[in-house]
Amino acid sequence: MTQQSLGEFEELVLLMVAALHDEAYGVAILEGLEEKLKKKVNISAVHVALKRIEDKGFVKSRFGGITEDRGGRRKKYYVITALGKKMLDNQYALRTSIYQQIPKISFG
Amino acid sequence: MNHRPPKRPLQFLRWFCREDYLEEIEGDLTEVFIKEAGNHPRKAKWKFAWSVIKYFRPMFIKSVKGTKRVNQFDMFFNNLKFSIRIFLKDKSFSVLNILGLALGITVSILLLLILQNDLNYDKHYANHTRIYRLGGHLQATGVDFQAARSARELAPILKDEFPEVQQAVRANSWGRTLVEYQPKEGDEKSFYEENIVRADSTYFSVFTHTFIAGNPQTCFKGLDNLVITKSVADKYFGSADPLDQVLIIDNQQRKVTAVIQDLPENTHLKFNILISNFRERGWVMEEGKVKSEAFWNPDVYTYLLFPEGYNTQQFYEKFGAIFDKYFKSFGDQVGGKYAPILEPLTSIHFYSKLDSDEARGNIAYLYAFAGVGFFIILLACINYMNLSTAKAINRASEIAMKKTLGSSRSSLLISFLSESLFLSFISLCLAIGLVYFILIATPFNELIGKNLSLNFFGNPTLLIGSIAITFIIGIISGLYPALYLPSIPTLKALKGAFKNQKSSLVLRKILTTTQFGISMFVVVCTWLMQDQIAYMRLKDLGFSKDNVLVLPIQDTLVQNQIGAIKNEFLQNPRIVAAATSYDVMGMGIGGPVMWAEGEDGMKQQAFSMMNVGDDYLKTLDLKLLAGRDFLPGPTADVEDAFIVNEAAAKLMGWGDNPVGKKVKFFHAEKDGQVIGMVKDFNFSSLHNRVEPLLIVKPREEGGFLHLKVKGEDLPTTLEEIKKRWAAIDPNHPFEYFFLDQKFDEQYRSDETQQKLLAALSWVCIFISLLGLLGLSAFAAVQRTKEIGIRKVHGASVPQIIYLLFKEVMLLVLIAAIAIIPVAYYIVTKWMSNFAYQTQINYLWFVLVAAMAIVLAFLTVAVHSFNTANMNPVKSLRSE
Repeated sequence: MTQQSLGEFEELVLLMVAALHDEAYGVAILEGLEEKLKKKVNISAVHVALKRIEDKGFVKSRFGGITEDRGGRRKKYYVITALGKKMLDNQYALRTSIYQQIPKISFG
Repeated sequence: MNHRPPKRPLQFLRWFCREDYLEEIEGDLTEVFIKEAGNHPRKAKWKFAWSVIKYFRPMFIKSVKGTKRVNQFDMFFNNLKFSIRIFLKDKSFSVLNILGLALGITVSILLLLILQNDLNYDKHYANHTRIYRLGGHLQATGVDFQAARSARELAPILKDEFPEVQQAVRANSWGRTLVEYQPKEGDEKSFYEENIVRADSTYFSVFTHTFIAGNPQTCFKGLDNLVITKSVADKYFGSADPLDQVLIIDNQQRKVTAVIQDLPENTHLKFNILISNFRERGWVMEEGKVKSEAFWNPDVYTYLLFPEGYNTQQFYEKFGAIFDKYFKSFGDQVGGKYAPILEPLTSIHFYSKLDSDEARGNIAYLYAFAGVGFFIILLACINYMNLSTAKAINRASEIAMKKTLGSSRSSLLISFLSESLFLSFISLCLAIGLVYFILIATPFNELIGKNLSLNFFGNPTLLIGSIAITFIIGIISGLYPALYLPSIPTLKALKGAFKNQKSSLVLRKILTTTQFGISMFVVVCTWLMQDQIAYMRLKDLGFSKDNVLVLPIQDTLVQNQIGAIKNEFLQNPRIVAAATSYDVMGMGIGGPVMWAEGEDGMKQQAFSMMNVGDDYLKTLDLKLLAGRDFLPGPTADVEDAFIVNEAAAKLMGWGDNPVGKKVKFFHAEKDGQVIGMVKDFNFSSLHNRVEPLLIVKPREEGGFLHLKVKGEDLPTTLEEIKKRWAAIDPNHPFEYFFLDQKFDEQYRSDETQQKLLAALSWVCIFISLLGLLGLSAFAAVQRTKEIGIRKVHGASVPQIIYLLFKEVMLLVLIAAIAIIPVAYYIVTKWMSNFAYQTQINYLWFVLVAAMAIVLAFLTVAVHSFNTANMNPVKSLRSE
């Protein structure tokens, strides 16, 4: 498989899915992101990112039980897959390694 | 508090969203909505709607008609794959098909270009829907003609008296004129220009042109200003600034005030030099009436600009007042009637029927081309149908297999159609290459006198048109096979027992016959046309047009001593005779209204008239039937002696000897008389009968010097004359032409069309043969076994070839017989354009049939010979 790509927002959503562990569904992810990013995010953006990372195989989904506050609609829960975790690890390692290369300039 | 998401956005979401995503999205949206609705219910609703709209993107939209479309998309590629495989499987077969289709498409693209060019005549002028040309139908005693021109006095009056005439412009074209450029330093340049037009200063407010230099408003204000086209500017001034340069035209200095873009080729009034303003003719009003005849002499083109959507009927109705005021008083003297004719600018090229006009198009030829083009497309389609139905046997098992596996009729239909479309689009690529080649590498453009170019991006009609044509050809040729092939019985086909049905065999025969019929029809028509053209070239015109050299006399000094010059030339033993004439046969001979002696006194009558000098009859070998030639000398017989032709004598009822009958010019004081009668000769093209003609000797000789020379060693003679002439007239370049060539130029357009049609006819034949080639190859393979058995029983190779060929020959013969009446009808119709017609040579019909049979035989023989020569052991063993 060629190098999978992961957009910035997709990465955030994937991180959030991983962070929420078993409780990750659309609205929960949305709220988590809004809290962390301190700005409004539209739910559709979250869904777009979710569908994309699901297509790429970084998350998998299942339907949960029916709850009343959603007009009788089931929640769709996402969990991170091993591939997704590996992707996040790689991404983290990559960034850190480049970050390390920033020269420590001293103005002394 | 119970909040519900807004209904309409939700409905919209449910309508477009993919079902597998819908529940999740709807749920999440609702949850977000309910949370927010507690604080700002209104805002939450808007946000909900906005979010829904954000989902309206390909990722979330369900495919059209559920999942079916995905399948069709796949099927398209599947069909394409099949088409490519079938294409590769039988390459020779595919090549035949593609060649045929490509030729068809090539011809249609070319025709499209020609049609586009012809039908857009003069449409490049922004006001083209509002511009009308004013001509008139002029009748008087002995006179009846429809002129494209009007009297030059008329335009200003119409502009003053008719508020709806928003602008009027007059224009007149000059003949070939010498244009000189004498710069202060550098070389002089002088060329003969064919397209010079003089027009009113209002010209540019009626006709729109793109200015490269100069001011459109002021450039045409004064008399004798010049507006020239880009190419003329380049020719004379090169890189120098053309503005304010001086050109000497017709021995008069004129200043260039503007440069415009070259005119497109498809405009009826062509010019590359435009000279401003007319010199008016004088005319006077007496007691509110116009006494002069000025208005009765139409001499210039008049274009009127009307408001959008003007009803020309109103103009005709109001014209009565103009007639009464300006035309009537002179009209009453001659029994004249005058009716104006308004022609929309864009219809002049094809639909105008008026006399004394610029060269016009002939819509009949356009129809002929469109017809033949249609035939060619039809032939190509027939080829495809024929070949694909013939191949049905090979594909029977494939089709049966598809059907067994559940292919529906419609999906089979689609797959066959995509095959034919695939082929036709490949053909389109080939055709585009061919068209490029024809336009760039062959003298095609020159032949048709146009400047066509293949520019798909600048010409959307062409782009869409050629794709549409390709598509239509693909559908037409694929439709019959697509309907026929799926109908073959599945079981039989699977067993391998499928044979082509009788009905399809019959159809194939009919199609082949049609193909041959059409091809032979087109070929025989062009042959017959060629006959007529050859006939016109060779027909005895009643004068001798061969070896007559014509030199225009361009200098008044030359004209003044023309008698001496003639004598000098006659010293040369190679020059047999010399004479001058203001009129050259075949170059348009006009005529005035005269008085001629009728049964009861002098009668007003229009005649054609030639103004000739001494010895003209002798030089041109005109045969005098009665009376005498003009007496030689500068004063004898001038303007009061007339030689008439038979047609004139017949018209006036003068019988065999008109000598002594009275004739005079309309304004002449004293009567002249007829001194001789010549045998009728065709002084204009053979399209027309010989008109009544008067030959007269003008006061001064001039015009064109005609030299009758000896036939042998023409180049030397020409060289001598050229040398002599350079001494006589050093101011002008040596100009000459041969009378026979000039005369035959009148048939050039007929000849061009004939040549084009002939080229198309060969395309027809070629396509038919392609079809036959494929068909015969197939038949030969089909009958391999039969032939094997026949050979075992002792049939010889020629017998077998005859067997294979017999059928084709019959078809060709039937086709040949069928086309005879059609071709006869069409050709006689075409010939009715000509006053003098050749006999239809029936031998051509026999010949075309023979040719078709020979060509068909050669085509069939290629394959039959192989099959017939095959070792029967081999062919019988093959299973």
